[in-house]
Amino acid sequence: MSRRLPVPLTAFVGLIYLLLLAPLAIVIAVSFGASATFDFPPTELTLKWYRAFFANGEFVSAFFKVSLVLGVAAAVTACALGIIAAIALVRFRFNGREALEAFFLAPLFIPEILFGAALYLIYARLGIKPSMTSLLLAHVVICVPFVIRNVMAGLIGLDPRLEEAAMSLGASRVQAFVKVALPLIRSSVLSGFIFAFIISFSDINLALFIAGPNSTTLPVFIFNLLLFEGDPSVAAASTLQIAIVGLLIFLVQRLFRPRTLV
Amino acid sequence: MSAPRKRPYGAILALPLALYLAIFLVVPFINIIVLSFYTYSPTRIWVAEPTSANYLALVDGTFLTVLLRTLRLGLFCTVICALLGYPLAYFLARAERRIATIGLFLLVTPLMVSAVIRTFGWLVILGRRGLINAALAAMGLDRLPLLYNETAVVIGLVNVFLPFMVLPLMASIERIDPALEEAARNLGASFLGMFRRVILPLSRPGLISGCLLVTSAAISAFVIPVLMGGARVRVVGRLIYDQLLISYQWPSASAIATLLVIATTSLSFMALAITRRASRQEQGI
Amino acid sequence: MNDGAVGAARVAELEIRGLVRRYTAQSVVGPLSFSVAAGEFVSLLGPSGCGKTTTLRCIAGFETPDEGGIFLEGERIDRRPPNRRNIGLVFQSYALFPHLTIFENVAFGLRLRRLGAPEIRRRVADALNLVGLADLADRYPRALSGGQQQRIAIARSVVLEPRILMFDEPLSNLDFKLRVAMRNELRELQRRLGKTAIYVTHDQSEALALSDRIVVMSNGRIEQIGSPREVYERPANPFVADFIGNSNLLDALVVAVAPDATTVRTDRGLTLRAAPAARNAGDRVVVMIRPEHVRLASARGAPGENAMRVRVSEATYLGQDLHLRVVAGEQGLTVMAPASTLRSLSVGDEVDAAVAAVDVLLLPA
Repeated sequence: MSRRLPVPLTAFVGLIYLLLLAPLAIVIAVSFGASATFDFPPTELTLKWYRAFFANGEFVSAFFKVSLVLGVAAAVTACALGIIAAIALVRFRFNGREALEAFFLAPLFIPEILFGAALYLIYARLGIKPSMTSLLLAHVVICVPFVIRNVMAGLIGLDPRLEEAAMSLGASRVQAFVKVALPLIRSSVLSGFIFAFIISFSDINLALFIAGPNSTTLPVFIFNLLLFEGDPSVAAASTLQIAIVGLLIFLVQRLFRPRTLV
Repeated sequence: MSAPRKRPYGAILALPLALYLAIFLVVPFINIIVLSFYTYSPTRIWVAEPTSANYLALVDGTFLTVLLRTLRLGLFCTVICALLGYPLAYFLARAERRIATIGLFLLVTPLMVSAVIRTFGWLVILGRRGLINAALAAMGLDRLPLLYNETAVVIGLVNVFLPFMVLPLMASIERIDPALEEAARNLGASFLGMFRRVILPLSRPGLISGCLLVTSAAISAFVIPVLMGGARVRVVGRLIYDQLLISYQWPSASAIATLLVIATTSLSFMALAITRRASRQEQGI
Repeated sequence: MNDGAVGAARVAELEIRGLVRRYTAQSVVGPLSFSVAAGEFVSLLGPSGCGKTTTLRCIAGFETPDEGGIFLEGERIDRRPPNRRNIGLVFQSYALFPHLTIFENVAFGLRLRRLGAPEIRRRVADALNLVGLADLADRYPRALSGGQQQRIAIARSVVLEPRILMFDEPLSNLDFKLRVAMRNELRELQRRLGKTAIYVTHDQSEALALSDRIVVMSNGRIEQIGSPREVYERPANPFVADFIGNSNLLDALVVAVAPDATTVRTDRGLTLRAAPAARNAGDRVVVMIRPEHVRLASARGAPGENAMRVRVSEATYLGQDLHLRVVAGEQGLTVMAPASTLRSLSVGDEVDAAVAAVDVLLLPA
């Protein structure tokens, strides 16, 4: 049954989207502009800032050697810890299950700079120097909730009768789970992985506190350039980030309808 | 496996993560609380002598000014997010599937892009040589200093945190039976009347949840106030960063951080409790 | 299209003219035209997807017709927003506001009209008394049973004194006995209030029990409009015959036409005499016989025309009735007979049967 929304509402919503997306559109536009001061709108189009970005060793290192690698590593680790935790939370009943679930999801609600500050202090107290590893350990904490949420949603949506059918055909409980349930939650796992990657890839607050000179992530690099007046190659780097994140979210929407995002 | 096991052996699967979080989440925060009671030392940064001086020192003009400013900015941000968020949430909840999917994509993607980049865009819009000033200059008018003030910071905060308001609100509105809206219209209500009498009361849990989430995020923001507000708009997050990485006043920074943790955790728990109670109430209906 | 008008003096309260609603190229509702007289109880009856709900929503204003017009007492209303039509609508799910008390639910529309508090109190009390639930005013909808919620939904619409009351399958959420009880109450209420009513349902017994006239719909078109008796005893086509009640529908050929009878032969070889009809020899028709019109012999011989000898091929005991499949030669027939008169029939038995010519209807093929 069709249900028409009032035109003024749709118009207002369009305006809000314009305001939300304008900054990103502008960054993308600036990255293709010719002037070295962030003029908008750009008068001529060029790819020179992208060339400058790829020519800049520090930039490239931040992007490929740090952010990308970190993102994948964080996502893999988060999945390893999170998938089994999700299975425990959904498939088993034990005392304190709800509290444990709240505990695992708590990082979603803790402001990142506070977590960053806390980690900075404990690392300093223990003499741990900032490195990619120390940042990786931090990222896993904030990435895991996304894996857990997605995998839990996938598990809850499974029809338990499918595994019962497998067991009636001779499979043990574990076999039924591995052969029937796991393949069916593949898309949840994948979307959890992708979200974990994005969270790590986009993080700025943790990286500001914990990253060291050899582990400068892309967002930190961009932040510093913005503070100290870089050139529009920072817009090129930003556009690349926007493109990657947009593509990944598009993929996730195709795979699975994730209502449990934030 | 239709009924979950009564035996707790499955809990083992959750153990690795529980241990991991205990080490990398709980311990650091305990450390911060402990550190907030240590005495500051200019030579060794801190000595393990318990004191409440760090907290008492906060009851002074500078910190209170910063605190009030932070709270003020958080409040403005929340109010504006609520005003802008409601129409957006209603739209996404009621639009047809294809449009809602696109709308959700356009909302979530910016959310996932780093806050730095999103704020970058507004720097270009409001900057000296940015969009607005270029337009003004083209019309022969003077350029305005639009950045580095509280309004710019609020704009930056709303820009980044609006989805935090929209998503819970949207979830709340989706749970309202569309027949209720039609019934209200059939009984004579205009669209706005229906919105006020049916949608607003029934989506209150989502609104409260969204407000608490946005406030919690806004008062602990750091990157956005730094970029949009500069040195003139110092907020609590900036204070923590400065004291940690620049002036090495770790006990004091820990005290501020602890207070902020308590504030934001309380807000988040309230939001969670309200959402849980709302969905339980619905099942009772 | 059989309009079944009962006296030309009745004024049309609601008129639908040429209503068309297009969803896709394949899925079109309309063109529909019918009118409802003041005080009439009209049902829109049909299977799901037939367009009855679409028609209801167009009248209420939640959908806009692509073509055609809707007229209320002569005024065109199809361009008006739904809150300006003064048409009461009782929803299938009742749609009571969960955050308001029963009193506030019923008062909702009155408050929108900015009536004074004493007036609102009086009218709400009257409406609640009308549905017999005056003492529930301070409760919330979730504390009420389904039947009670439905009555409140009715009270909420009635209190605004609309010109028409519409019901969207209101009884489908209730269990059977309650449905029958509520059905009677609803009819009583409508008669007492004298309101014009439009009732959407897929349940033909409901439509038969409640309506002054039934609009039978399928696939977005009107199949027949008539009183319950008309659509049951004189269905216009095989769809109506099959949807309302049970029927035997047999493909047949008109063999002979005479002033006192029309003779047909079914494709399975059974020859029957039907009442005189405007047909020609050689026409293809569908013969319709209601299962209860096939009379089986008990101890005495069966009077009436179309006598035949049949063999019982299936028998199902239904308590009050016996549901039988019998075969006359090669032609199968469904028969419904009171179990009390046929205690000794079983599969394989041969028995005399008869159908009166006037009960053999010829429908367009």
